Amino acid sequence: MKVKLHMGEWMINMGLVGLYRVFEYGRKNGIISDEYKDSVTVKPWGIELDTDVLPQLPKAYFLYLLEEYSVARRECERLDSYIEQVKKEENFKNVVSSIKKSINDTGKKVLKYFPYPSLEDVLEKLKDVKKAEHVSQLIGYINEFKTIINDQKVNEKLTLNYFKPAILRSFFGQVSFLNVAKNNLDFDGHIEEFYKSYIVPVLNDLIFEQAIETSRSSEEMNAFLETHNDYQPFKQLKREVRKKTIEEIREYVRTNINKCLLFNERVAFYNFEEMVFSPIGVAKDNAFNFSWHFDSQQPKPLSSLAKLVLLFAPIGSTIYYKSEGINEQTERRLYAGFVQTDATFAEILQKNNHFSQLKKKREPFNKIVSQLVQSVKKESEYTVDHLFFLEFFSDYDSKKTHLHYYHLPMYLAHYFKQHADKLDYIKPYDYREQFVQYVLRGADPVYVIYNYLRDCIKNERSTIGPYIAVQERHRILQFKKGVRDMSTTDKRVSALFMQGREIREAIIRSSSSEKKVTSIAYRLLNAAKAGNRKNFMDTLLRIYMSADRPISPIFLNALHERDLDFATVANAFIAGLLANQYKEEQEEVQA
Amino acid sequence: MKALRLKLFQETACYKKPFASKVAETYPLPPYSTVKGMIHALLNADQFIPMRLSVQGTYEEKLLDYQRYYFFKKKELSSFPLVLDGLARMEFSYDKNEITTMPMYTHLLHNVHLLIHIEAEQHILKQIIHAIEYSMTHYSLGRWEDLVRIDEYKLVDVQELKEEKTLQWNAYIPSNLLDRETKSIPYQLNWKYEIVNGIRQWEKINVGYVQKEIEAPEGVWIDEDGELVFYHL
Repeated sequence: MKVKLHMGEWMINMGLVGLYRVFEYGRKNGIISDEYKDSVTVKPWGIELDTDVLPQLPKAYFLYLLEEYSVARRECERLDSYIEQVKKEENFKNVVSSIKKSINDTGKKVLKYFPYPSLEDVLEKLKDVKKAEHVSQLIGYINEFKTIINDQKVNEKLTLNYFKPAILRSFFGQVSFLNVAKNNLDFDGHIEEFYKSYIVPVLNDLIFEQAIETSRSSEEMNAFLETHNDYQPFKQLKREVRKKTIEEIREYVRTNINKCLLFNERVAFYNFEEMVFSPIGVAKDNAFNFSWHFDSQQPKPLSSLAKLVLLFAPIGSTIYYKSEGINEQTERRLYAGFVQTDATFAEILQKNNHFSQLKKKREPFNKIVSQLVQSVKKESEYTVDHLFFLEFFSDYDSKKTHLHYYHLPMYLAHYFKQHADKLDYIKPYDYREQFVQYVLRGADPVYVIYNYLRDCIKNERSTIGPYIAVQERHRILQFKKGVRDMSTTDKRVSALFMQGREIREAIIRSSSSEKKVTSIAYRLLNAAKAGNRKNFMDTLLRIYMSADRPISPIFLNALHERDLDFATVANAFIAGLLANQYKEEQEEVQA
Repeated sequence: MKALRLKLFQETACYKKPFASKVAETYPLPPYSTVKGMIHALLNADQFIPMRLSVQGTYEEKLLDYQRYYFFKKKELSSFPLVLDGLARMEFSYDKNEITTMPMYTHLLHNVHLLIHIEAEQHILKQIIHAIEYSMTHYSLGRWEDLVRIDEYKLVDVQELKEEKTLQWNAYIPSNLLDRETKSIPYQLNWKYEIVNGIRQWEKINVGYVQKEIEAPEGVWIDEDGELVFYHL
């Protein structure tokens, strides 16, 4: 039987992309046999699914995840890089402790499930590796260990234990095979659990829809319900329709069973709630006031088919780590990202595949934007405007979801297209990432620049970064106003930067100490951050007087903001004040 | 045909999407059901009044707001959560087994300008105008706390668009009017509902959300002041 799965809200699109990826993977690796080769077909509006293939999906689903998140592969990659380092004698001490820790941690996890005398032996022998001359034995032990974790059973167990809590839990909480009670299941046990909780309901519901259409008598309908007596939704229905004629049964189903909110033509025996998609759902029994008329039975009706498609969402999205917060408060969070655009399903698939490849290459976020923007072959500028990213971090236990929804307005698309490469000069990477995040959110990245400048003063960093950040922020503001020619405005920013450099040299000549520059930079930065123009100008005039230099009229912008805004004036000057080895870098940037 | 044209302004707005419980995502413009709801509330209507709507608008930015939400764990509560923050010497507590709280993110649109056309029977339009002029409560669209400032209300003549014209606002345009070349973000917007089995089952309208400055598609309307109109039915 063929069913149409139409695209819709982003979470269902995520699921459809995931479903297609799993199907493709299954076909490529011989998990789904040839007779099903046409059972998942891409249509402009979504996917056409032949339900015969459903029983094949659970195995493909888990094998896909096993390959994607293989613990053995990641451990081996890590150990290989350690081997490279440990060969150098000066690194030996540091690296050997990392190696021991890595092998011990993983080894203990293995021994918890599998008796492995040879592994215990390796762990024991490792303790004796202490000096650089033991390096060849050490490499021998590492290779032995690699063989052990590459054992299929071992890798299966370790990887299942990794992706269930780390990836799937934030999407679905503790439902079905994700429940802690199911932790002892082996690979086949997981497949069975998946089949029971997700595939069987879909098959039952679809047959039910057919039976309602085609049954000629109430006896036929009752017999059907009787044969599926172990399926919960039918139990109640059976009681309700026992004494009704077939017409009355049809009427009862029409008026008493809701239709699915995501796939409108399907009957809905389930509900959109936390355990179906936890990033945005809430548990229905603990949030009566979230549903209309305090309904607690089924406030957001959902079909088993939609529930199944949503289970593929983690595979349809791209999973990556992202640092949030600044300096000491940095937290690494696991994000799921998705590119949503109004296009045919084939195009959404292609864009998301591209996105996930870029993420695997550790491309910074802004590169992805510009590449994505540029990868759109010859679509009109208008289309560019219809690319938007969505990314979320969701923690099931603390019930917390951060969801960012980046819609790329026209001026930004143009900006990224023309100038994204410049952003590469903003280093360290975290500041660049944050800068771009702010811009995409439509927020002013000036706060990132303040933190960045403070960081540069504190750690005596000397890079071209802050200057570029100030310049790019100013360009973005110009783009927003519709200005496209940057030459005049760039000159102004650069003039302020030069002023800062000159003053720096003058101060260092007279006092021959960096300290004074640092303290002035702090003072100016505080004034800028507080938006205190008077204070800023006051400090500036004092510096110029003590350096005995004429003050440039460009600083008047700090007061009247005719050509430049106050933040740009202040930050460009401060960036100049912090510059020391800029010459070559600047030429490089201008080239 | 006559229509009532409203020009509205909201400093903040959140037109919440149906699935967005844990994070309040918002539509870029109010869906038809929300606008219909506002008009029905103005008229104190107790049943559906037939009408056609056109919704257009712009917003400046999207913001994130971090808010405390209350969750009712029971249907019957012995107390109701009254927020008395900032009121001196007022004590209020509630049973933790009945109500819990959690901070959640809400997406807000900032500085929203809306252009709405309503086509309905003449006497209904007159009643809406009367309700606007003599309203006893504040106007809001979307959430109760998102106030609306009505900058203009005017009866205008609407006719079919004959010449070429570009959009001055972002707009919802019914999908059947959009050709393949016109790019848009697809939404299925709620319009009106029947109560089935105790919950609302919505009639959906397939629309594309299009950005301003594109060429208006064929089969749309224009009012006497040159504002485009995209009726949803």
